[in-house]
Amino acid sequence: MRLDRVDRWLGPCLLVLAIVWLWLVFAFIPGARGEGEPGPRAFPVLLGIVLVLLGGFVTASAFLPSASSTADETGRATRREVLIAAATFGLLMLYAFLLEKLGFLIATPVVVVLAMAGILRMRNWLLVAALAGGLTAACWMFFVWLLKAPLPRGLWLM
Amino acid sequence: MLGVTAFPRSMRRAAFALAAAVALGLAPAHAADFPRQPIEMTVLFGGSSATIAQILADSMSKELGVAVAAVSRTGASGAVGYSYVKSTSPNGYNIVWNSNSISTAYHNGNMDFDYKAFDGVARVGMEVPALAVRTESGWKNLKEFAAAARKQKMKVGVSGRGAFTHLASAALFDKMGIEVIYVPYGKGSAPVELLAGRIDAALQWPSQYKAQVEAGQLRVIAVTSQERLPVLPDVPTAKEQGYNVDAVLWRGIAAPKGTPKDVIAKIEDAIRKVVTGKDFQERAAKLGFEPAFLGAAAFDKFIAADDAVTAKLMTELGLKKK
Amino acid sequence: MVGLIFGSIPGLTFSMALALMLPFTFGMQTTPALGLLLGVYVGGMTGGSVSAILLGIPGTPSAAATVFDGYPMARKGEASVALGAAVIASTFGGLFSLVVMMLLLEQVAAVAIKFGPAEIFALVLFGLSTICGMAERSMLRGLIAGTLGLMLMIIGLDELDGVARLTFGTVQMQQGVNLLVAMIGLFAVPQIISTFMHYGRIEPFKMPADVRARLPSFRQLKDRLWLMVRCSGIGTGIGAIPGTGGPIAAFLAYDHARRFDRTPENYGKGELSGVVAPESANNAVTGGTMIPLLSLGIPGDPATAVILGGLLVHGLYPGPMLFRTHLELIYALYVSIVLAYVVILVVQLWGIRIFVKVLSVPPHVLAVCIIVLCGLGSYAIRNSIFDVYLMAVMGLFGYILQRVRIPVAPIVLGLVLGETLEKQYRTALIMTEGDYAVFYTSGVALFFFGLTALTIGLQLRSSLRRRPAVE
Repeated sequence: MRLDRVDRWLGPCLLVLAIVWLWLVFAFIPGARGEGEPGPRAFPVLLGIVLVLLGGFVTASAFLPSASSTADETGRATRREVLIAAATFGLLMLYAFLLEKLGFLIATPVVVVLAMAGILRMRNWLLVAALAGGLTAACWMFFVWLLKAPLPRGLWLM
Repeated sequence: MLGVTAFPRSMRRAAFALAAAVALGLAPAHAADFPRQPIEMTVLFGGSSATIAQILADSMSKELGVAVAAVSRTGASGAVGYSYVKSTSPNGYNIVWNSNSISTAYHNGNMDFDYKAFDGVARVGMEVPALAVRTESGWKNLKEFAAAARKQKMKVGVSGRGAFTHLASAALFDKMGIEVIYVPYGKGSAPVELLAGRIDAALQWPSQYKAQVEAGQLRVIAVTSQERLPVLPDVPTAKEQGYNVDAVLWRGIAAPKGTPKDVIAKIEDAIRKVVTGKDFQERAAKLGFEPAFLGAAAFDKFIAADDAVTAKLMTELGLKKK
Repeated sequence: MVGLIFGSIPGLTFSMALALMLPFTFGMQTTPALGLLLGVYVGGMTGGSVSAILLGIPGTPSAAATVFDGYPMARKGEASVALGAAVIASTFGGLFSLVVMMLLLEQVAAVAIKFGPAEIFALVLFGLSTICGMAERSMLRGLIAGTLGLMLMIIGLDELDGVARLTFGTVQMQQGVNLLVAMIGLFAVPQIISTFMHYGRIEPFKMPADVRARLPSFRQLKDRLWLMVRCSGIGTGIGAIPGTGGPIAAFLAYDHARRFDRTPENYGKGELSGVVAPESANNAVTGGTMIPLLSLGIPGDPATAVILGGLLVHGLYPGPMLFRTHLELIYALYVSIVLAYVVILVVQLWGIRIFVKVLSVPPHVLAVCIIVLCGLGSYAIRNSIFDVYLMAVMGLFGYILQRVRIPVAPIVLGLVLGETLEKQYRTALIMTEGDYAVFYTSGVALFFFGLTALTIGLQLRSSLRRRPAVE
């Protein structure tokens, strides 16, 4: 996709983001307490306005014919790429969830197996198992025994 | 294809077996064999209070025979750490290094539960804030400071609005009948600002000034406790100077509500031995910390009383949200 | 030594390593205890570059700027050169700042104390103006990224007023967006996705097979000696100002190097100076922060706050009196810093052989390992599960930004500088009860405002001049 095409989406998205931001800021952050100081709301408001300007600029330059024409290709996102990106994101979220509830010792091998067998579709089970077990053991030894750094123990197990 | 479906049954069974094995290893606590695994002490702030927590944890592990790890969970004026410990199971393996911040975080509106979510284990000690000024300013006591403050509005450095040093100084200046500008600084940079002359006074912890006081650059003119401090024997209390305030920061150990009484008693006992020990007292003194042990039952009452005082003070200052 | 290990693991920052080491020093004699703490401090600062270069994940916030050129170098097969240069530059910076500390302690402290909120604000604003130069293609996209970074910084508890900002009533959000968590997400996760993408399809991106441990040549270093001196100076100076710190110094040094280079367009693509500059600066910070610590007893950053704790437990109160009462201890301290650097230099140069082995692991296996490291790393920073979720979200965010060609580096800069920028600005105005004169009556502040204006002006001119050339 050409970059100015991307900008036709990006510009309005930024504008929407900026307006939502400003609305949230005015709705939830209290203003200054008088006394001439800026207060906790001044900076967020300023940033929102800057983003409105920048988003407006992107939108304008993307739709005006004169500007642009930098022939910059970003390559279209394929269905597979979107799937993989979504799966990776999902896996990381799952890892966070499992770390909290079941602790490091269970979450890690599960996630490693899912990554290798699920996303990469590796069928070399020996390698998958070896990495799942080895990585978990290595990290545990390193963090807990050597460095005495606490790792999550799992809320459901305690 | 990208999920559990790709999981062969054998692997799933293995995972469950592992889960079961780990779960059995971490069976619920019974007081008779408590403690059987490491105890996590959540620490809410950095700086010298974290150092004290580490000394305490270190000595407690010798008493209890298992590791006691001081784990730092800072952020949101303590609310992050309190929320974490509250969410753990009440079995004595998760305790929190608590302080007045339980009340300030709640009344500030940053936390939706208060001290009642925890069972007190023991109070460990107190920290007393001290008001310092530059030696060259010439103010030697609160009266002179107050007189000067009536002519010109003073700038006083505190640790942040709604922070304990802010409350304590507000209580003090309220009694003195003067109005000042509170300049909030994070991360303890108020003493530098005071040295550089950008503020007129600072209410911070005695250990932060110690070097400058010895070098004759700063002078501590009051402490906000009822009695004088061993680390600053020459500094009169505000009460002695005619302004009756009592603002001290207490620190102690609490466990999630519902922790078995006999487990609490075991930890309480270990803390008692540590805190009344000579070793701990010596180290605490060097850090400007006053050991003041209080058992679980008394500690609970103490917190409740202190919470009411804090709530009243914060209401007066317009800082109370709920 | 311990610091080195900690520093090289993303998420285990040296502040945390120091905190974990502290109890061990309680029972020790004063001098070895101090030596251990200082060793961990400087080691951690140095070790942060290892994962920044090899994996593109900074081990500590101070190594954030090292990623920009160190990681591209590793992908070009020059990992060992980058690692070698990083450790040599670090040692140089550290020793440089030590010499400054020994010779000019009183003078530097006297200047540093002059930096009040208004002056620090001006300095940080100058740092922020470098955003304009950071975007490879378009200044507009750089500015967008910078603004987004500053917005992320807003989320969380406002330290000055104790007001929760955009946390939607949750306690977890009050922690705010941690710099390192954001960096792990923004830099590492898109890499993982692209590795997964390439696996088994087209011939995967291959780390050059030749990962022999090749050290930077003497010439490469000699050419950059003057740069190292300047950046060490920047680092020492910034370190001495309480309330700033390593990440800010590293970014300023990086930008300084780029701006005065004859070929600034090479930066971000694997330019050796882009590694040397931030690494010499962030290690020079270690000496710099010792200046206010020893002369005034004031810790400049969380790491020195822990060291201060260690000193206090041993009954030492840093400050002017320490030099009169415990002079021998001060010398022991100097010697232990020098020793620490000698050890670091030897261990690290030798270790490079092992480090580069990481790159011969097949990329998809490495990516799986990085997933685990990302999770553990973001957890370990604040012992918080929220940060693991946050890392995942930042990862998705980083991936989307990459798709729409918004550079990630300015976001990081916004996160690094934003908090200081806002806090100092507001503190300055609270102090004067809203009198803006505080900003233009101070010479130091005016000087940095001038520099800021100059930077923006020059950047605008050069980007305007470049535009016709493209068309």
